[in-house]
Amino acid sequence: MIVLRHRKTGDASFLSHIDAMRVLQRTMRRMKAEVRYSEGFVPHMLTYTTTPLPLGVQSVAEYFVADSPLTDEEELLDRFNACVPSGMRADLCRVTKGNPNLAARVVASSYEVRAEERITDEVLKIMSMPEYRMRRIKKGQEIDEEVRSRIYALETDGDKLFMTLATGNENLRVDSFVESLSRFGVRASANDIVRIEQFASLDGRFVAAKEILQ
Amino acid sequence: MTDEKLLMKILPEVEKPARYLGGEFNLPDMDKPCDERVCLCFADKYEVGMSNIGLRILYHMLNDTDGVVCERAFAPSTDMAEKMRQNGLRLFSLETRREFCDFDVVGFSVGFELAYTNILYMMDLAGVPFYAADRGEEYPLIVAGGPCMVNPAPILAFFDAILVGEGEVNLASFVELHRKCKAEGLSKKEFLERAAKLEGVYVPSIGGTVRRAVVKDLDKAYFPTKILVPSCDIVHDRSTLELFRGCANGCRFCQACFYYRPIRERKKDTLLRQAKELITNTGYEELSLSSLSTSDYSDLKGLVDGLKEEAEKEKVKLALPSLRLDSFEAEIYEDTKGASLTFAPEAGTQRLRDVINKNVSDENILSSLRAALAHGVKNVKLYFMIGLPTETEEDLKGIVDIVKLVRKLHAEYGRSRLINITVSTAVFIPKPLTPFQWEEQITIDEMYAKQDYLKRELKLKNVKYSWHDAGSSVIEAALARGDGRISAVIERAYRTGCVFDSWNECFDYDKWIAAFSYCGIDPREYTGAIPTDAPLAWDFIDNGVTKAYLLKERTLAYEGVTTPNCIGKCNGCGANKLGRCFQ
Repeated sequence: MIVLRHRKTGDASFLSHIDAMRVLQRTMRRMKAEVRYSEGFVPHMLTYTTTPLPLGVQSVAEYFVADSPLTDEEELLDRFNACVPSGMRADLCRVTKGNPNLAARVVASSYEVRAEERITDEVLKIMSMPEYRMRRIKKGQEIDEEVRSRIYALETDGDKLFMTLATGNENLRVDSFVESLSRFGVRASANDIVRIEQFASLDGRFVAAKEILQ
Repeated sequence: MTDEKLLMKILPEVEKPARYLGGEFNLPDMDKPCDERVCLCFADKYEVGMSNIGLRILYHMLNDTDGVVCERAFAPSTDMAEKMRQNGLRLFSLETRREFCDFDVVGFSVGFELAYTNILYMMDLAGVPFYAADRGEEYPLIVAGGPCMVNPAPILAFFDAILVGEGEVNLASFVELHRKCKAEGLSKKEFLERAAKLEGVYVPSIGGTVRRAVVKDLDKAYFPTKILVPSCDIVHDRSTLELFRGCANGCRFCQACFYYRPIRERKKDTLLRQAKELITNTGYEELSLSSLSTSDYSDLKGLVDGLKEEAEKEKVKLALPSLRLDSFEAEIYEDTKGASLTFAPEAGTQRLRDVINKNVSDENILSSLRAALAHGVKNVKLYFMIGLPTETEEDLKGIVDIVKLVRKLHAEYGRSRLINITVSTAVFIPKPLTPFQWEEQITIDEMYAKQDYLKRELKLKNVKYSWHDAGSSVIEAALARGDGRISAVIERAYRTGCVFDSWNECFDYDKWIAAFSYCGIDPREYTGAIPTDAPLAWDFIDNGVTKAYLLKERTLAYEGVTTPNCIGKCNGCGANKLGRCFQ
């Protein structure tokens, strides 16, 4: 298995998950990298990712896994970067024995938000609240959700906000969450958010997804 | 230059934002030294425009020219247009987000009459006046090219120049000349006076006549293989090989057939090399063959065999569209593993097929169907036209008979399941540069009546009938044979809200009729019959094929006499004076 950690920045942040997957699969084809195909009636390339980002949110830590017997990490990284649109270049390549199953193992992500103006510490009050409710659109309907347990960390620095939120099965949609922060005077659009890293849970602590690739 | 920060803020709020960003793989170098900037526009959405092979060729051709940078702009969806207007953003190019006025030349590729309002829509969003006469030196040269230039009369007033024919020739020389004139410090007017002398360039403010420019040697013509690979889904998301231009069959309703003549092929080895390069450079999973009648390619078997080998090696799917009924080769079909078969008999009876010169006999249909059914085809798509000249009830009944025949044949092969049949009918639209360019179009009421008849008769199990919108067929006909008076109608239609007319859900017949009536014009003036001795709005263009030939074909049509295809023997249509057929 090849695991690539790639960015999804600038123009590429506006690619839907399915579009991004197609771009990555075509990248593998351009690389002429051997990747296994499913054996069904319409064979498809066996590739895997983690929880999709909302449209417009940027990232420097997307993980793409391809079922391939290739092993030269350095060469793969170079070839990948030569064949992928610039907004999705990778900074890390690992070859693993089996499927690291990141989709199931990633439980949290850290994000950086650059707001339009300085962020006051008001927003940090969330961490001491027993519950935090926000509204978001789910399948075309507005819902009201309690999400406090899915907010793991919040920090401010000038006009920046650093957050660690739940990802995966208990996913907290980062764009909706940031939108809800307007009540604390935080104004930022989806494109002002960058996913910095994704984490798996190991012995009760968060470790960066890249650390669990063997 | 567009405010990037503002753009990034509004994009998450619009549908499919990737359309507005470019950033595709194989993007040419936008930072190279350049003294000429061109923006190629397609007056439809990104997904449609990016599927256009002509635009793709010209875009890469210009970017491969030293000192020239070419960018793209498409018609933003209405939700994006609304956001742009709210935020004071003007139409921008995908690559470097420049506005129209930052370019030297803005070129519209116009392939469909129903895109005319979208041209104004894009000019409006770009903040440029619609009429060339109102645009001074501060505005770029705005020009049009593409198949609609067969009769550009309705849109002449909007453009500084009209490029008639193939862009590899006239767009290249137009841009090159402009570079020179710019260096010499010539005014727009002075430049246009010189440009009017170029092959295939018509300057409305000067007038005169123009002869269509064509590539003389298609095999040696520019064809890009390091092409843009869009990141979001587009209509034709695959690599495409262009086998040849022109068509030898001469169906009398078909504009493309006559427009793209002379008939010129690319050599098999050239195509195989291009296929290899396309597969390597794009990573596309599918390769398709493009031409008006793929099965007429001189060495189709050799080409397909060669391509199959490459395709299998690279896990690429080979798509073979547009196979004509009469040369349908079961062998080729079988190897493509398709489970559906597409036929276009166009008319229901042999008599009418002879009138339109669709050289397909009942026997051809029967044997092709037999071959296909024997190979286990489960879906058959049939395409017909209604409202063709001389059509009678008998011809409509013929459509129903063919459908029933398919069902009967299928049953003979003892298949348990019913076969799925999809029947589509388009409405005949008399188009310039066809033997039927003088014909009348049936009225909208007749269209409804014929469609209703088929709806009734084709209410059969596993048969799906779809029909082309009657209202848009009327407007398309009026625009196709329109003259200078139509410009005002197009402007009025746009001002009253007509955009994306080629999208069924957006087309508003009543608004168009209101626009015609506002300008005091009855569309029937343009959809009715034209006397064969009357001057035509497109007479100032020499498209190759002569009026005398078209008239002769028209006479033969009414006599029900067919004209054989011109592969073996030239029928003397006149196109070969532009360039040799079958080099």
